[in-house]
Amino acid sequence: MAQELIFEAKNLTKHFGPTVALNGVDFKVYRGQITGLIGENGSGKSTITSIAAGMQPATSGEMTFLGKAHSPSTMIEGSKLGIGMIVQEQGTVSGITVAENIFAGEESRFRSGPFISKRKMNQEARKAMEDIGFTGVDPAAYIDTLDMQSRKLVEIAKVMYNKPEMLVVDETTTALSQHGREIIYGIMRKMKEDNKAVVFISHDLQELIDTCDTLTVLRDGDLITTLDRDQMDEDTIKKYMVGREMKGDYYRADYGTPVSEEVVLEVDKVTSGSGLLMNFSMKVHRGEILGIGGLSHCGMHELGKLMFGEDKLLTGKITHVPSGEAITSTQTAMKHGFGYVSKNRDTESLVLTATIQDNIISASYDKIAKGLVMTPKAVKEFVDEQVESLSIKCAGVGQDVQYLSGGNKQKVVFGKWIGRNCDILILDCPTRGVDIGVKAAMYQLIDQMRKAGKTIIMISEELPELLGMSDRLLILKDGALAGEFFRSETLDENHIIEVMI
Amino acid sequence: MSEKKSTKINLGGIGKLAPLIGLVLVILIFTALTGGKLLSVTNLQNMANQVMVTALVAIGAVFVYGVGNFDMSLGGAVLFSAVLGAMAAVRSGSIFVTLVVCILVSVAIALIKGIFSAYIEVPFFIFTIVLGSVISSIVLVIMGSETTVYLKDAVREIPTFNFTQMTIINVVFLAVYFLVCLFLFNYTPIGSKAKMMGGNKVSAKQSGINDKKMHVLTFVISAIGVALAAFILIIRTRTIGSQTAGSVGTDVLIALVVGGMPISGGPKSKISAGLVGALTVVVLNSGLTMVGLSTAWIQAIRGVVFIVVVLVSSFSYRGKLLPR
Amino acid sequence: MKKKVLSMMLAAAMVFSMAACGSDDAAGNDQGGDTRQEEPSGDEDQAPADEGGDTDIQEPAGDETPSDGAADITLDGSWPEETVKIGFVGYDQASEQQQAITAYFDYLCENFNMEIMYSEDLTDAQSELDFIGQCAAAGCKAVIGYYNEAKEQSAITCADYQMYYWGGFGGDEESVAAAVEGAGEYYLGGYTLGDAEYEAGRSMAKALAEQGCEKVVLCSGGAAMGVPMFVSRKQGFEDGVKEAVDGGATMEIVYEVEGWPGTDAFTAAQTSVMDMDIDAIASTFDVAMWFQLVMESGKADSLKLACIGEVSDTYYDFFNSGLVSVIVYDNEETCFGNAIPLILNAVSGTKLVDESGNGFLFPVERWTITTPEQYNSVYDLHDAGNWVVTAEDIANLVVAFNADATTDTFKDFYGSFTIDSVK
Repeated sequence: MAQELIFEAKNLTKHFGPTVALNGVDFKVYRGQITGLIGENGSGKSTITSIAAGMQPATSGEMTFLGKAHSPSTMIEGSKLGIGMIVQEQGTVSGITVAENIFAGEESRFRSGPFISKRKMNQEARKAMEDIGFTGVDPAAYIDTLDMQSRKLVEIAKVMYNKPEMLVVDETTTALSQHGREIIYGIMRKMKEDNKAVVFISHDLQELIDTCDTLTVLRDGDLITTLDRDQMDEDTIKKYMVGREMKGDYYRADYGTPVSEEVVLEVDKVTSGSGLLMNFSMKVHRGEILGIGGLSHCGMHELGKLMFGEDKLLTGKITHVPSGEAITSTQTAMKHGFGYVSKNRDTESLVLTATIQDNIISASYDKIAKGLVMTPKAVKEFVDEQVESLSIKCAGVGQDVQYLSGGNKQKVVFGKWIGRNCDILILDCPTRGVDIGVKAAMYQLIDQMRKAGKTIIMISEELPELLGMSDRLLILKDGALAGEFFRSETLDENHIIEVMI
Repeated sequence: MSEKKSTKINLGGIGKLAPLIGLVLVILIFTALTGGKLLSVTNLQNMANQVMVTALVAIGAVFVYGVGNFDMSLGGAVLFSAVLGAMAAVRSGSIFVTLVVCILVSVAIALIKGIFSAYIEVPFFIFTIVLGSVISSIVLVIMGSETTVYLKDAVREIPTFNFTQMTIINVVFLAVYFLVCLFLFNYTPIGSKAKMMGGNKVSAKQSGINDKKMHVLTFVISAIGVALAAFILIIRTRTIGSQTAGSVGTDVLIALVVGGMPISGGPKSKISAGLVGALTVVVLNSGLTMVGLSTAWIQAIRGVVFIVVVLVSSFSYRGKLLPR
Repeated sequence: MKKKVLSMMLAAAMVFSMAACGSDDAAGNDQGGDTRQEEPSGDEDQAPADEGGDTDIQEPAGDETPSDGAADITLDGSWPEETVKIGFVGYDQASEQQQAITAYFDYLCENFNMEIMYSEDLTDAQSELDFIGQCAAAGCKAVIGYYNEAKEQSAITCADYQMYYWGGFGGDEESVAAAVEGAGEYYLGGYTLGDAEYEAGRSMAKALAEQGCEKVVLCSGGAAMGVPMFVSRKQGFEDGVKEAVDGGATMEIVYEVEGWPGTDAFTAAQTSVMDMDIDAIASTFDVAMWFQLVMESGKADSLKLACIGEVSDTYYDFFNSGLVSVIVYDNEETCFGNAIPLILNAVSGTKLVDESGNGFLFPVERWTITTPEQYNSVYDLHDAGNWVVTAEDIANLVVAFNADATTDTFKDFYGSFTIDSVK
């Protein structure tokens, strides 16, 4: 079958000072195909597409798009040339309406006389959203009233409105629910049918295997290989990504380990302020890994916050059983050895503009300081220990956390709580946006903590990891308990999904 | 697999040192322009006197701004402290009582600010502007038809300090306060907590930082600086009127910016900003006046210097984000 | 980056143009100062007294020719040999009065080897003392305390720097005594208008009463904000009105406009005043902002305006047309110019002192101008570049120039000037 080349990068190189992000990569994208791109953090996969879309210039090399030489200097230019890009981070602008977001920069299109017709703009916006199958949102609504996923869909509508010839989806699916992912898959399929092209970047191997026609693997700025449909399987891909055999198990290896009877945390008829969690009760045992799963709005994220004393309870009580004290604030929780890793890493777990050092010590001042004084030496010791034991890759502890990759950021967050030697650790989506290598390391770490007697509560939207790691798995639906499952080799996803939906 | 190191542009390094470089430059330039008179013993003592109020308030302000509170009521706090302190001086004739009153008044104001910012949802910035106005009005009412408090009217004579004595007092106060603040900011958790709060309120809270306590604490620390400034104003000028400390608010802001302090607070806050900035501004003012330019030119040059400082400091915030 | 640099340059351009707008006569100072330093010993062939001394002013003391011992001193800016740098403490460079003083001093600087260093607009004691310190560092020999907030503290501070201080503390004798004690030989003294500010208000009221005004509006400026100067002026005005009433006149203050022009409140007050049935508007400061309103309302013939102000272009037409009927005028030459002879004497070793050997207060008349003839006589003088008190007059009060000069001649000279001395 003759493949028509829509985009080609020849010998593309990108340097950031002495850092080589791309090393003479030759990358081809064909029409009518969904081309996957995968690689660990820092492999260069996002760099290639961002250069193609116009976000930044290449250091050397050439690109051809639609048969012409291609070197856009801005994203708007790239978009006009026919490359659309959807990213992982927030791409919409707060404070204005949905329609204004979709047509940001292009309002003059709706000019009638000296005025801009809001009515026409809203109409077009509605059409744009319907085109991607996203209905039910009022274009005149302020974007801040929408949740993160809907905001992302607005962004997608905006990109698709410009009818790109080549669409780049850069790790967008991780933050979306199943419904959101379906919309994206739908768009990708349609692009393929229309003989256009899609470049799909994701960490989710299964997703890539299911959707892509070819999969290109990058590692350390080099293009390693391109796999065809029939060559794509998890282990092979992992092997190419990491460059070595993945040793040992990914998740826990044991089955049948008994869990202590002792209850450390009791949640009693609790209703969250947002109402998403209703009259919920459960018990957590010492030393167990308790998994909590469900669909996006089942109330599990709120549960996590409540257990840490972050939010106010409408009804009920949460008790730290060994001491008998009720958890009413973050300070109380921390006093009893609680730790909390939020699912919103950048906005809640970290202070992005602060250094790695600042962030790691931010939960443990009382542990590092002797009386009033906190010496730089004590701080350094504390931080170095975490950086080393977690293998945090950085240019030094004085580096701002915002410059780290997702995986390393998460390691910093972990370091913050591990340094405190928490007994009860509440994790919410701990491996989101984290690449394979780091994921594996985290699962090992969690298992080690369990073996050391710590209690872990793991809230996650990824069923595989819940299945792989939990001693006990609770499924929530619409704010109430829908099912309880125990660790077993025979337990599989289908059992769970039945209960979830 | 090695993580790619990200290297910032060299300018970032310059950005961090800019305030200090600026100070040195300004000193050198004006020493040359005034034929060395800038650094004469007389003028050094002058500058020590001139820098006091701004420096004391600016150093303490690093805590307040660092946490993310934009406080425009500092001038009002100095005024109120000075007025009540001066009145106490006149009625009691004791320097000691004066100092105590200054401290009590500024700490009281600090507590009010702390309660407000911790418990009430109105943007803090607006509250401080209102507070500043309210203080000015209260001062007018308190002073009544007097309009100015003169220390010479005191019940028992309050000693006048001559030039040299004043300088020594100034330098000692400033050094002590600066060192204490330096210690609190860099060698105790207070500074780190403040910076984290300024960087991201939610994250700081989730890490267990008690924001209410921190708000009050930072205000109280800055209140000591305010009290000292008010006290020095009283014993040096011996005259406190309703216009006293009128320009402190903006002077402190300018000093902080010139000193390299991010006005929105956060992790890049540094305690040196207050001192370096105040010194730079004082040297600049002194130098410009001594060179003999007309005041219009002086103001123009000040404006340009300010712009340049802002431009250079902005370099330190630029760094390319490495795409993952 | 490009955008940043561009925006910075635009901001700089803005700053410079604003500074240029505000620097009209300030630039004049600069030139005066610079040229002085270029020629410490000027031309010897210029005749001593020819700078516009031909007016009809009665001069109580001194004649035009230098007397013995001073034959070598010429009034061309070459004497004293070493430039006398003088600091000037001011509070509003844009005010008419300060501009008039500046113009007068510029003239004097052409005749004597002096350089005046003006302060920025100061507002409180701290900045006043800071400025004095800067004067010292810049090498000033004396400071003129035109504005004074710190009372005798300013004199004492000057003494600390070994600079002379001129200032009367508004006539506050207690402060004068303290200054004498604290600053010793460095305190020169100053003028007193009795209770200057208070008297100014009172004279205005008196003059308006004499002109038969019954319903008066008072603009009290900074009185509501507690600014001492205005509080006194307002008090004086109110007392003046009371005295007029006691003397049988019907006069009352029907309305008070507070604050300064430029605020909405002031504008609103002005508008409502225009609708009232009044005879006069008295202002504790300038009155020029009423001109247009009055003209437009057609009340120019029935209203009288009074103010504490200046003899200058601004008021010329309006005074002559009768709209402005009273100006309480501190003639800058007699009220402030007297600093110069005192300073020149002190600097050349012949300080003028009173019986106890100290700096002293001396009375100077404030001029209440009520007729266009009076106004014009002063205006025409200044307009032609002539002055009521000329450089020669001043020179005659300096011992190095005129061996007969004494403290008494000084006091008599300045104390005797009234508006009637100017014809």
